[in-house]
Amino acid sequence: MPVRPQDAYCENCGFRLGERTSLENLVTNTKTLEEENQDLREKLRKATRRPSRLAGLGLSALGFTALTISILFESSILAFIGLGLTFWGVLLLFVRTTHYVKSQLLDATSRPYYVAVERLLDHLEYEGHPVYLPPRQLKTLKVGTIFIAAEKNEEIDYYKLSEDLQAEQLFIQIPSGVCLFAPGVGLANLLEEEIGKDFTKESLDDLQRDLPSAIIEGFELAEGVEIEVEGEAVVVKIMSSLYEAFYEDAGERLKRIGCPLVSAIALALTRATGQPIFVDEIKPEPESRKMIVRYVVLRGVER
Amino acid sequence: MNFPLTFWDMSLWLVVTAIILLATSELLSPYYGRTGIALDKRKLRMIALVMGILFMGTVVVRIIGIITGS
Repeated sequence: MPVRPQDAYCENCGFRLGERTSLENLVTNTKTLEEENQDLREKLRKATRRPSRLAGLGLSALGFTALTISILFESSILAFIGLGLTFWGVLLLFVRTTHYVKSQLLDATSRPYYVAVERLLDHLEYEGHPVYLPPRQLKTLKVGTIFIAAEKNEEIDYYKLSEDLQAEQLFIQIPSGVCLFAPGVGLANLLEEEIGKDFTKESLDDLQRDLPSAIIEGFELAEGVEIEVEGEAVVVKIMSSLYEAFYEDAGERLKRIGCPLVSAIALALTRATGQPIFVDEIKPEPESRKMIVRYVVLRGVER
Repeated sequence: MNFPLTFWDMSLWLVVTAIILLATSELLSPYYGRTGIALDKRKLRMIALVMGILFMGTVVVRIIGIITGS
């Protein structure tokens, strides 16, 4: 008796052959849709990309035309116009910025780190304040460590702790706590490169002079930065920081770790002073887009 | 069919361009608002300085010309 096609089953996967055909159709449809999606993405990318290249080519072409006409008709006005247009066209073609990303990316890419840290600390039930420890070994000069103690009000000699700390040590038994990688370590190292000096070789006065210009002009992370030393505290006023959205929904503990910029400044301070530092207070002022960060230097033995 | 600009015209063009570029490099920032064209401020400033130096070169040529009386 002949078997109807709809009653035939595959020997390998057990699917009814009719069903497999529909599955194959689905796979084909999905592939087609994916290809269409890729095409549309490519079109969108082309439509929204920066017009620097197009503008550069257009201006250059116009400029060359004007220059040619100026030579033909011996017109100095056209020559000036042609020179200007050609110059700006070439400028737009060759002076385009190499790395230009939207500022929202900064917050979005750093957020998972903070979520992971918060989960870890919640799981461990550690309640201490985050303290930035200065580097004590050559191989930790470019590393930033935050120590978070298990207990909130525990008396800890952070200076001795930073001296005893081994590189890449994660958990510490006495005093009980955890060492985390600071979120601003990459930025702090970039700031060092921008300034052209290691923070460990700088004094607080040098930092007051060099750090704001590196943050404002070098990386344009904020519109203004002022650093003031008030006894054992260092007060940093940051105007229009790119990371200000970070503090809208951050908990108290994450605020004390700070956004990558605040963390980088803390690392700069701890490297420059050679002393442990903690973020005592962060006061965001959304109306004036200003943020006042108060760092406290935990003085140990003077360098 | 000659190029219509003289050496002194080029000198004037250089100085005007240098001033415009310097002012632009100071004012330009991709941070303020949504910009359509992105430029590297440092490179722009460097080009402005080069233009300024070229202008100073033309000034030196002028001074030498006055001194030698040509």
